Order: sequence, then structure tokens, then C-alpha cells
Amino acid sequence: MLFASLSAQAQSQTVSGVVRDAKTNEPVAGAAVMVKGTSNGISTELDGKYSLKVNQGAVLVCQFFGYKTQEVSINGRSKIDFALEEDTQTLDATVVVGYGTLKKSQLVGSVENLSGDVIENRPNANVARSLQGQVAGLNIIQVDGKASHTGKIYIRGNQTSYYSRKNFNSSASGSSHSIGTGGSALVLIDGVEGSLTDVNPNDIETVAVLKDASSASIYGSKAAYGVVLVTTKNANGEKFSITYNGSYSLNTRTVKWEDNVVSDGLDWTEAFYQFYGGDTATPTSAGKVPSTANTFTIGADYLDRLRARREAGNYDVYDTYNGAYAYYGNTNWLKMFYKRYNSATTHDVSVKGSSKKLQYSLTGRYFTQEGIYKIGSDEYNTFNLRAKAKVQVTDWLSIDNNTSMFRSKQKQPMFTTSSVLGKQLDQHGQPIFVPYNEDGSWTLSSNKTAYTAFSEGNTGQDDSNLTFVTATGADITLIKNVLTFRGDFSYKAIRRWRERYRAPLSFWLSPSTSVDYVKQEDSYKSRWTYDTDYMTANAVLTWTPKLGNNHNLNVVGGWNLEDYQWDRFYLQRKGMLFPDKHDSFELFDGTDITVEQNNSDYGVVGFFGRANYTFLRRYIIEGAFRYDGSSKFPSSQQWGFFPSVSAGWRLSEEPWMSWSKSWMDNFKIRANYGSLGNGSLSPYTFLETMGIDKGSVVVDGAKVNVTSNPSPIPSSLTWETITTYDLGIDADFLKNRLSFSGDIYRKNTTDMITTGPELPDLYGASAPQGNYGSLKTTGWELTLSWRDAFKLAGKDFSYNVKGSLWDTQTWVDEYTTTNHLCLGYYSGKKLGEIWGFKTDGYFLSNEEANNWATDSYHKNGSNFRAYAGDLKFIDRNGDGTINYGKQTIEDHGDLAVIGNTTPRYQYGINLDFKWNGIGLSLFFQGIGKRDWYPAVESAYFWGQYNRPYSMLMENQTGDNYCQINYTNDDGSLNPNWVVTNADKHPYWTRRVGYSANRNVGPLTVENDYYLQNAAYLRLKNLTIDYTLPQKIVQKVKMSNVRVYLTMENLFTWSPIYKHTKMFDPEVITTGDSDFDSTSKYGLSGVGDGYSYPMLKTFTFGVSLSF
Amino acid sequence: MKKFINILIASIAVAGLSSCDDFLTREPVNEFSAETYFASESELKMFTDGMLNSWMPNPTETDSGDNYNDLIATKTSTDFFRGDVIWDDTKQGGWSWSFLRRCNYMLKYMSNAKGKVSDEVYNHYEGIARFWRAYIYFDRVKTFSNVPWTDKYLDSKDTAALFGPRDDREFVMHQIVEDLEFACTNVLGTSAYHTDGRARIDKYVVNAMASRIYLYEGTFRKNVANNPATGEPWNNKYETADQLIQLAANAANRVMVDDAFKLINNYSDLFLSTSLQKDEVIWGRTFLAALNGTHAYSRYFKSSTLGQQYSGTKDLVRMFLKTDGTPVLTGEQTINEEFNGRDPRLAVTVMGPGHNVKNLDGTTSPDVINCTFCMTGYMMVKWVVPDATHFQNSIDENSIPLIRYAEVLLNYAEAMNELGKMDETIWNETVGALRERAGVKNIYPGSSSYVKDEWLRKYYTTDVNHVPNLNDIALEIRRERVSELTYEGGLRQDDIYRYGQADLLERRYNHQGWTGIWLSDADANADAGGFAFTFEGTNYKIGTKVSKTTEYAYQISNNTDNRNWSLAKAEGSGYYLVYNYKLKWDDNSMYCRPIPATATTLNPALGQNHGW
Repeated sequence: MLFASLSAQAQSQTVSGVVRDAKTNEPVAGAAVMVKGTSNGISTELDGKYSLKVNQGAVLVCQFFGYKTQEVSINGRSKIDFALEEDTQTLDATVVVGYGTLKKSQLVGSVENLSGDVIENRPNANVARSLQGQVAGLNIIQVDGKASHTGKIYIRGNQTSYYSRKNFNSSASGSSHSIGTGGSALVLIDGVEGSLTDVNPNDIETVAVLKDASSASIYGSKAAYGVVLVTTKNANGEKFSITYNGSYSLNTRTVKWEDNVVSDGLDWTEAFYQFYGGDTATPTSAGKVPSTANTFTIGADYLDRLRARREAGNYDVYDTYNGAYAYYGNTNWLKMFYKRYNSATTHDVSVKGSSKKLQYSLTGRYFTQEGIYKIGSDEYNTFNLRAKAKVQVTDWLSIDNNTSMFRSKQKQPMFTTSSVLGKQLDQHGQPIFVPYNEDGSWTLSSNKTAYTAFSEGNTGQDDSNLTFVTATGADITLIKNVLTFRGDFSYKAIRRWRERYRAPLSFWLSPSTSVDYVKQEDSYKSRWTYDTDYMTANAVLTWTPKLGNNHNLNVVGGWNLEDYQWDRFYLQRKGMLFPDKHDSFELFDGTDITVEQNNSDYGVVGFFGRANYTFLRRYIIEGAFRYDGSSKFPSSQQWGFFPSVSAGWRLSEEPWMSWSKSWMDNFKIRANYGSLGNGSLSPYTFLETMGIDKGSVVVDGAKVNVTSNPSPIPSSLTWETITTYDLGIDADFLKNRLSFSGDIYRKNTTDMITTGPELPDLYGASAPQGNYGSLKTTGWELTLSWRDAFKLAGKDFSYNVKGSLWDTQTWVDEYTTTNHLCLGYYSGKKLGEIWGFKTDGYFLSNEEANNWATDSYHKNGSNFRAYAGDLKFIDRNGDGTINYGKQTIEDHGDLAVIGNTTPRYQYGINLDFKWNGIGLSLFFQGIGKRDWYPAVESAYFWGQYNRPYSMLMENQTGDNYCQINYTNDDGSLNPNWVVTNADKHPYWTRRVGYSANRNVGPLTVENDYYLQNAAYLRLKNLTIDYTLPQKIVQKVKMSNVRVYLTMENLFTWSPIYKHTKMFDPEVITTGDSDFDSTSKYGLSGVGDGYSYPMLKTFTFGVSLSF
Repeated sequence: MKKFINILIASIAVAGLSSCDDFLTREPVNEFSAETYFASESELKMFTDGMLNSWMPNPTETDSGDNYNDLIATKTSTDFFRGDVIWDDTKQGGWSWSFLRRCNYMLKYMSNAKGKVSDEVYNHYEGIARFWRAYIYFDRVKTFSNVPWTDKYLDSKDTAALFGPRDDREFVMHQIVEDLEFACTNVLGTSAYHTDGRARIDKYVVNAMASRIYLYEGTFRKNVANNPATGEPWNNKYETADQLIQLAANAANRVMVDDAFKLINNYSDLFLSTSLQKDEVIWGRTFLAALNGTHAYSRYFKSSTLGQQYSGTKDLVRMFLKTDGTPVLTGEQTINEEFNGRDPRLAVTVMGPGHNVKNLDGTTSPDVINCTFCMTGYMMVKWVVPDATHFQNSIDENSIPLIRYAEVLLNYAEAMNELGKMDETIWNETVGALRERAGVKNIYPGSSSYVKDEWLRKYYTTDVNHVPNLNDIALEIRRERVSELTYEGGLRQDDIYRYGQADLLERRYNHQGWTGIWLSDADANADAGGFAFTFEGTNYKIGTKVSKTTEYAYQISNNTDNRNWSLAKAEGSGYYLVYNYKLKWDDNSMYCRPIPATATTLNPALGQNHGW
């Protein structure tokens, strides 16, 4: 403490004594006895005794888990005994629940409270990343490594929509499937709906996760997928303090793409010719020879010319061919784009204080992360500010305000279209090409890889976000400790915009041929403005009557109102007039302008209540309800009632269980049942609305405005209902050192809004949506923790181990379609299943292939058949051919479910050690089971099996692929192909271009041979910290100094690394939602692995308190 | 702040458990819902303009309308008319009823406008909605004969209607007549509604289209004995054939008496001019590259890949009179000779000598016959802008008439003749006026100078399943429809259906194949394997590939049976070039199409049509 006096050092003496349990009088072993404010201390022996050298006038502190800490001044005594009292605070901590708190012993729902400590020192850009793996049943699915992106948060489930191939006859444009209106967990920050990206991690006091319906039901229609309650810190009990946290991070990508691709021009070209030739090669004809590498003309004899140059020792990159520029490069395009390291910096200041009448805190955080590109400006900055104050106006009234602001700005370079960079690099970044011509002008490749656009910096995207929240509330004590009222009103404004600008681009094919890649008239600036205004008000009465020792009642009742208004405004102006300036629309030619505006508004009113009654400290019963009205439903069905009931039995409190008191502190069985409504559909679904468009018909010399067709209204539209059954056990053993918590649950989602059964065409529109689908989800969660402290080398050593393991699976219960397609929803489908073919390795010879089942389904190269080195598909139904039947559940030919994309057996393990001011913590996170089949166009996996001109993967060279004796020694065609390196057991099949990129290519269509096991274990965080001894700290008039080194995503173990080092198993997703979205599945779509890379982070930080 | 106060008031209201209707009622800012829409004339207009935008015939529909008829050879065919392919309900489409939602939606909710617009205006818009309903319903009737009728805005729960059986064609036609008669009477033709653009539906569009629809149905019932849906004779419970024909005459006459239209002087301007010929075009589409884009008619008729490679036939050409008002007596004339002294509309329809085009290099020269897309030697030119750049790009801006005054005159003439009310005055006002406009001498078939065309009579009376009672006037009206209206929105196919003579499709082929130009004995035997002729001084050779600048040569691919040329001996001397591609017709079933399998699967109560 700043004003703490430094007591004079006096003579030392020895103090000894015994530490006992105040109730039982048993000696307590392992209790810590320390001199206050120093690291001088000792642990008690088995008989509870201790002995310690101290200075006169010192204060002894005795601490032990599960007991209240005691402080005693020596006052010259040499024998001091301690009688420790059980700490009901630890045993019976307060738990944050919906609209209030409960004692842990009263809790009957499935709620997990997480302290802000686990988030505080993580250098992540946002909180969602830090929460991943920390709470059983909380599934955070990362989309990529971009600092501005938060994961998708699901509680006890995963997303139910998915993309699939269109069907088994074609891979072109995939299909998107969704059932119900979906939704993810509701995140409330101090009671206001918010995003985990917006909140300052250092502000967080607790995170409560309400997992089951009975806990969440009080939040009604938005809580159907669970609730995450974030509570920010208050200035409790601190006179005045200032804390500064600062950290500097070095980030590096978890996957180094550039290290795993071949950049030697000759090696690449040879493989390119082989893949290209393999595409059309048959035993009776040699394959074709390419004349272009994708869009660039190289001439059919390019390989010969390149070889001849190499043999002649000519390594010159530049040449001309047929009057145009020719290149003989060895370019690693990935290396040219990506930095090895980028940095991030955080500064965080908090000022807190309190007096009898006033508590206040002011916190601020600045975070900046440098981009990952070597070229082009790429950066992300955020700024958080929060001001909180609470004034005790009278002894019965306090008022408070909590105002926060979040500002973020992001600048990103982009390709000239919204295509993702990785995809462009794969398609146009051939090693033989170079970015510049000899005279310094741009090449075709530089334009098409985005190198020009990135370098020139005038094609890009800027995002800005300003979120402002202010909440004002009043607490009124109507009857002290019995009846309180809280009313609050919050207003949130989000002002967000995104701008995109695209400059004209051109390149030179020869000294005299220039090509405009982006024409001046196609250059543009676009701006999307999104304004959100959100208001919410709550009025809550809490009644906790004193009914004697055997009865404990906690009743909460209230009212909630929400008003949401969202407005989107879009503007585009084409024709950039000044290549370097895009700051104003006025710098663009004004002839081609687009303006759009639309909105989304809704209102929700709710009444809620919860009564929790505990009898004899062991029988607990709770009932809760929510009655919600939402503007998203037609007036006849606006209101929904969602009740829940729960019961708990604290077995350990039964008198007849007293025999277990010595080792079991708590054993509680919980059961609950509840229903929740889901109202997260778009606001105007139930209205027959029509818009205004500009028609194409010319009427009297002009196009006219026309009203569009009214949308069909759903045939029924009411709340989707989620009914949850949950059975749980909480138990604590050995003085609370060992804790266990487990739940099993089942969730039935019924009345899901989805496309209705087909109607006769006379209806005049496609079948309207209605409450037709249902899903069932089952799962379980286990959490086990152990914590203890003992003496190590005379110093306290405390440690803490916590492990969580959970699982969830979902099946389709009912669905409207009658055709039962394997790739769509059908009754009984397990979500995430992957349909495909089973294989038995590959053919070793043409003869073997000839004697196998006819495969006229897979288009292998240009041929509908297989040869040596091609995959051997199993004719599962024994009809002599490889086929897909009607691709329905009833008739699926040789197709089978070969895997499942749902992450299973998710786990998190926390290990914490503290000794003598040194702390070490490790956090592991992982997934026990998950399958992945690389989507069409995932060239980072397939390499040149995707397209012959794709990148060549290092692991697809040498003896790692099936080599074939296409020709005899004399150069003539050899009809009897065999795999010549079969003894090396190559993983990759014969080199055939497009085999993973044709409608029905053998590698394109899912099969178990190339199915990847994407399970992983990741050391998410490793932190070493050191808290300086108080002695030193106090000398410099500070109260606490801590330095730390923390590393994120340090190590990862995954089976996928066996076959690819190009993917991070945690973020195998397609595209980048900022640019090309995942909806473009299929041929010419996005493909997996082109998202922004995950980062490994090394952070050094310091935390100073005054 | 106002919003805040609103919220506060709403909060209080809600908290008091009183009305929270307002708070819980939200609407999108950029869209309207039915409860509040249709509150003014401009809203009615925007809604009916939406109908126009969706359903006004587009260039693709109008240019492909005459793909398959007895006078035009096309490269292949739709499977429906193919002899070697089976057509069935799995191939049939067109069972689309989205127009019903839109029309019935408007008719249900437009009462919002009552009291806000005058009754006259209200009825005008009701008339437009009912016109569209009738217009599209009639298309479904033509295709499927018996169809379900509903004038109700259907909810997904209206299972009785949705899963009900079809209605009888005559009942449906009766409903269509009701709609059309309402529209004919109530849709306005005053200057505010009858504008020069000729795009929106006005009194004249409605009446002109009604005359087309009534005439079709009236003559169809006269000439096709049975309802094709059932194979049973017409029951005449509602309008009879003659009553429908009378309605056609009335509707056509309503257009004629108003003097709102006249025949323009330059016939070819109707098809090649960018500006719509508003004096004659009652309903039409205009195209402006700068506004709404262009169409591709020129390319469509001049491409070996894009269109159906339309080619006129000798039969088509023979139907055109000479300028002296008499018919040609023989087809055995070379392509260079037969344009001499002919109805000028022939050279507007089919390329004849002296047809120049602007080449890509800017020079002008006679166009060449290109047998990669012309099967017969007769290239279609009616819609083709004579500029080679138009043959390669979709850049046409010529406006497209959808119905014009000339057709109304012909509808009137035919209706009056069918009713036995034709006389020389009516003839002169109608067919006569058209011939005079074209530059052909007007000879009334009853007059002494009239020369009968025995070839034409045979065309319609020899070897056909149904021979109607054709007087000379009826024959001349049929001729006039060909001369005037060939290639306009599929009218010829409709005509042979309603003549009950759709078997001409098959018969004309069986006659001797799709006949093209006549070749002299010398030309036809020019050299082995080929037929040669000269057009405008340029030599054409069909059969062997020759590469000379003055000689155009086309390879015949005889390797498939359905695509080859041959020669057919003419009656006198020489030969006709014949394109062999067989079409099929079956009177027993083909006057209507099968109900699509997709529709009968969803609603088995629809049943299937006779013969399918």
C-alpha cells in the first residue's frame, strides 16, 4: 500500500504453536503460517505444529484452504495457537445467475462461474479466444486468426447449418443447408447484450455460463442457445489504486505455408507437366503438354527450354518468347507476401477507488496489432474505455452508472475482387513467374496474385467500429436484507462502417502490350454504414425473507424491455480519378452511383420470475418462468410462456451421511427441466412484404419503379422451443481440495422454422416456411479439479489442476422433405456426417485395376476409369460397379458415412503453480475426435491434384507419390503401368491434374483414404510470471509489481500433420468472412485453408500497481 | 429524444399490461406490407408496372415463338415435335402459377384504395389485374386445356383449392371472358393512360389482345372437335364457338372505331426501327442500350449456334401474292427470279436480291446466304438489322411490336367471315387496307378480277386430318396473316392449332421434306455430291467444301439421318433443295400437353390429359 508504514526492523524471536480446526479441534496439517507482508513462512506439520522466526511486532497470518484466514499480532508472545474456522465463503461462494446471485449451495441449474483471472493475462485480442476450452460445454469455434474476428459461441451444441457438395453427380456450386433460425449464445456484458470482441479483458470480474434451460430461461427468447454473463470489476474495498499493465507481443503464424511448397521453378514445372499429362494419359496415349500455366502463355516446349537453360548454367529470370515476356523464376510467392513475425502492443490502465458513499473505477486499454503482410498496410487497433461509479445516496438508495466505449479500426489490403488471397496465390503464384518485368513494370502474375494491389496500397478495405454503452441503474432497499428493487436503463449505440476501394490496375505482357486488369471505369469506392441503436430496461424485485434457519427463500421477479433498431446504408461510386486518393467519394467519377438503405427493428417485452427455496439446507427446489412478447411474430402468436423447474438434493447434508463428513464436504444431485423459446428469426418473416425495384421494361422512354412480388408468409410461425433435461452432480472432497462436477443432458429443439413441405404449384410461390423441423441433442460434461498448497524449500507452494471434458451430438428428429437425400437433412441424420466412398488403397498395376469393379463414376483425369496408382474404391453393394445409387438413405449405392465433422470430446486442462512469487500456468485445449475431408479447391492440401498449375506441396514429391512407368526404356508407350515405388508406400496417388477438382474426381468426392483426422491437442497458453517481493515493491512505493512471459498456441499435436503442414487443425475453415464467404462451396468456390492464419504469440508483460 | 419518449411511454404502457401493440409492431423501411399498400394511384400503378415488368413478353419468348410451324424449317426441334424421341409428363414444364398470387393478391388487397381514388381509376387498375390474370390463364389453357381455376389469393392452408382437381376448359374460358370483358370495359384509353410508349396496358391493348384470345378459342372449338384434355366433344355450357368469335369481332371493332391507330406507310419500320411505330403498334417493347439493354434478334437469326437456324420454306414464299394481287402459279423459279414483282413484304421477311448489309469494315455489300444456319436458301431478315456488327453482338435496339393494328384488322376480318358477316366494305377496311399499304393490288375475292390460288387451297385441303369449310375469303385471310405476320410472336403456330390443322407440321415435311429454293436441272447436277446455284452473282455450292472468295460452299454433314440435304424432283423441271428434319404430330393427344409429372405427384387429383 502506498501509505503503509514501513515498520522498523526490531530484534527477532521464535514463535511456535498449533493450528486446529475450530469446530472439531483436530490439528490441521499443511496450513501456512506467514509473517504478513513478507515471504517468510512455514507449513504446519502433521500434528498441526509450526515454529517460525519473526521480528517483534510482526503480524502472523494463518491460511488454509477452506478456512478463513486469521491474522494475529505477536505482541511479544512466543506461543500462538490458531483455531481456524471454516470459510463458508469458499465453501459457499456467491454465484452469478440470471438477474441476481445465489449461494453455490442453493444452485440447482447448470451454471459455471469463471474468474476473470483466467482471461486477464492472456494477450489475445478478444475475450472469446481466451474463453475457449475453459468451460465444459462452451464450444467456441474459431473462424480464423484475425484479431477482429471472434469465434462462434455455442453452448451445449454446435452449429446446425452446413455446406455440402451439391450432389454426387456434380461438385459445382455447393448447397447450403440450414434448419431452424439458429442462433448462438446470448452474451450479456453487465446486463446489456454485447459482443466478446468489445469488452476489455482486464475489466472482467467473472464470466458466468448458464448452460441449461432452467438457468437461462429467465432471459427468455434470446437465451435459447445459452447465456454468457460477463460482469465487470467494481472498486470493492480499495481506497485508491492505479494499475498499469503493458505488454509487447511477437506473433508468428502457426502454419508457415511458404516452408511447405516447392519454389524451385524446374521442380515445379516438371511436376506441372506430369500432372497435366497424367490428366489425359492412358496406356495407349501419352498425356497432353501444356501451353499455358493457368492464364499465362508459356508455350508447349517451356519445360524443354527451362531444362536447356539450366543445363547451360543460365539462371537468368527474364527472356522473351514469341514476342512476349517469358520468365524462368524460382519465386516463393507466399514468402513475398507474409512476414515471419509481427508485433502487438497492449497498454492498460485502471484507476479504482472507494469510500463509504462512492465506488468508482476508470479503465482504459489500447491494443494494436501489426499486419502479417510484407506489402500493403494492414493493421488493427482497438481502444476501450470504461467508467463506473456507484453512489450511496441514502442508506436505502444507491445509483450507479456504467459507461463504456469501444473503438476499433482495421485496415486491410485486398485483391481486386473479394476473392481470398490464398486462392489467388494458388491459382496465379506459379514459382516460374515473377512480380516485376525486367524494366520494373508489373507482370500478369503480380496483378492476378494481388501483389500489385497490395503493393500499391490503393485497393483495400477499412473497417471502423464505435460501440458506446451507458447503463444507469438504481438500487432501492425496501426492507433491509429482505426486499430490494433494482431498475436500470441501458442505451447502446454501434456506429460501424466498412469501406472498400479498388484502383485501376494494369500489367505488361510485352514491351508494347499493356493490359488493363482493372479498368478505370470499374474502379470504385464503396461504403456500408451500419447504425445500431439498442435500448433495454429492467425492473427487478428481489425478496429474501428471513424464515429461520431451516428455510431459505430467494425470489426474483421482474420486467424487461428491449428495443432494437438497425439501419444499413450502402453507397458506391465508380471511376477512381486519382490513383493515390480514395478518401472521399468526390474523388470518383460520378456517373455510376449506387445507393441502398434498409433496416431491421424489433421490440421484445418480457416478464420473468424465479423462486429458489431451500429446506433444511439440503432440499432445494426452484421454479422460473419467462413470458415474452416479440414483434417478430404475428400479433396472434406474439407471446410465449417458458417455464422451468429444478430440484436439488444435498446428500452430504443428510444427518445419516455424517460418517462422510471427514472426507466429503459436499455432494449434490441436481435435476432440471425447462423450455425456452427461440425468437432469433429475422424481424419481418411473418409479413407479406414487397419492395420497390427499378424495372427493366421501358415505359414512355424511361424505366419505371415496380413493386416486387409479395413474399410468401410462413404457413405457421411460432416460437421454436428448446426443451432441456439435465441431471448433474456437484461434489467436493477433502476440504474442498478435490471438486467434481458432471452433467448429462438432452435437448429437444422442436417447431424449428424451416422450409415447409412442397405445395402444388397453384400456390404460386415456393413452399413457405413453417415450424416443421426438430432436432435432438445429447451431451455430457465433466469437470474435475484439485488444488492444494504445501511448503517447498521453506516457501509456499500452491497449485491447482483443473480438467474439463465434454461432448455433444445432434440428430435430426423430423424434417419435411420426402426424398431423404444423403447430403441434406433427413429424419435420423446425425449432424456433421460425411458421406463418401470407402477405399482399399490404390491399384498397383493396370491389371489389378482391370479386374476390379467397374468404376464409371469417378472421372479420373479425362477418363472414367482407374489405372495403376489410382484409388481403389470398394463396391460395397456388390453390384459390380462403383456408383452412388439415388444418393438417398434408401438407395445410396456404394456410399457410406465415412466420418463426422462435429468436434467430439472437447477438453481443456489448466495447470497452475505458484511458489515464492513465481507462477507458472499451462493451459491445454483440444478436441478428441473430428474428421475433415478437404473441400473442393483446397489446393493447400491437394496441391497440383487440385489444378496442375496449383502450388506443389513439398510432401507430394520424391517417393511420396505413386510413380508410374508410363514409357519403356526406348521411349515407347508402356501399356502395362505399375506403381514403381510401391515398396515406399507413397501416400499420394498417381499424379493426375484435376483429380481433386473435377465434378466427380476420385479425390474430389469424399473418400476414407484422404479423410483426415483433425483431432488436436494444443498448448494454448503457457505463462511464467514473477511477483516481486513486497519488500522491494514497497521501497519504490508501489503495491504490486509483476512481470510475465506468456505464450499462446505454443505447441500443437495433431494427426493431420502427418499428411499436411499447411493447415492449423483449429481453424480449418473456408474463406474469410471479410472477403469471400464460405457460401461459395464447390468448384471455383473458396476451398478450405485460405482464411487468415492463426498466430502463435510470445508476450512479455508487466503489471504495476500503485 | 422523441424515440426515447416513445419508448418510455411504451414501457409504461407495457408495464401496465395494457396495449403493447404498437411497441410490438414493426415494419421494414424499404418494403411495404399489404395492409397499408394500395393506398394511392401511384401505388396501384407501381404494382401493375411490376406485372408488366414480369410478364410483358420478352424478346426470347417472341423470337422463339415461331420455332416450329409448317412454314419454317429449323435445325432441330423440341422433343415435343420430334419423331424419334418420346415426350411425356416427365419432360413437360410450364405448370407455373406464380401470376395467380400476384393478381389475386392485388384483387384482394386493392380495396385499400377505395375512396382514395375515383371509381373510374379503381376499375382501371382492377381491369389491368384481371387482364393479366386472363392473359396468362389463357396461355395455360392453350397449353394444358383443362386447368384449375382460382380467383382467390391462396393460403398454404387452402388445401381444397391447392389439392383440388382441374376445371373444365370451357368453364375456365368463361372466367377468362368475364375478366377480359371487365377489362375491355373498364381499362381506360384516355390520354393519361394511352401513352405514346405503348408499353402499359390500356384500353386498346386489352381489346386487341381480347380479339386475339377470343378468336383463338372460338375457331379452335370450331375446328378441333373435342376438348383435347378429355377427348370428349365440347359441352357448350358456357360461351359457344360463335359467341366467342362474336366477342372477338366486338373487341377488334372497339379498337377500330376509336380511330386511335392507323397503318403506317413503311412496313419494315415496324420491325427495324428503334422508335416504336406508335401509329400502328398497340402494344410493344422498346429497347435502349443506355437504359435497359438490348436484345439479340439479329444474332439470333444469323447464328449457327444461338437460335434455331430458322429458314423460310418454298411454301412460305409461295403464299405471298404478286403486286398485281394475283398468286404465283409455280414454285419453279430461281431465288433470283421469284422476288420480281412480288408483294414487297416477301423481301422484308426473307432475304431476296438486293439486300445489302453494312460489313464490319464499314463497307456495304449484298449479304450472303450462309448455309451454316440457313437450311433452305431462304434467310430470315424480318428482324435483322442489316449491320454485321449486330450479327456478332447482342446490341439490337429495334423495338418489338407485341400486337399491332394490322392483326386487329385481320382478327376482325376473320371473325366477321366466320360469322358470315363479311362484305366488300369490311374487306376493304381490313385485308384490302393491308394489301394497299404493302403495295399489292387489292382484289376482293368476290370480284371478277379475283384469281383463285389452287395451290393454296390444296395446301389446306389435301392430305390433312381436318378440312374446314374454306371459302376464298377465308383462304385469302389465311394468306394475308402469313404475308403480314410471319415471325411475330408465334402466331403461325397458334393459327395452325386453331385451324385444327397442326398436322401440317408433320405433313409438310412428309410432303417432300422442308423445301427450299428451286434449282434448275443444270444447277442440281453441277458436280457429284453437290448442288450449286447462283444468287446475286455469287456462286453457292452445297455439298463439297470449296474455298474461293467468289464461291460460298457448305459441307453437308450426312452422317446423321435427321440433318441432311437432298434434292426433290419438282413437278416441271429442276429440283427443290430439301432439308430433312422430321417433325411429328398426333391429333389424338398433341393439341394439349401432358400435365407435368412434378405437378401430378404433388397433387394427384389433377389427373392426366387425354392421350398422355
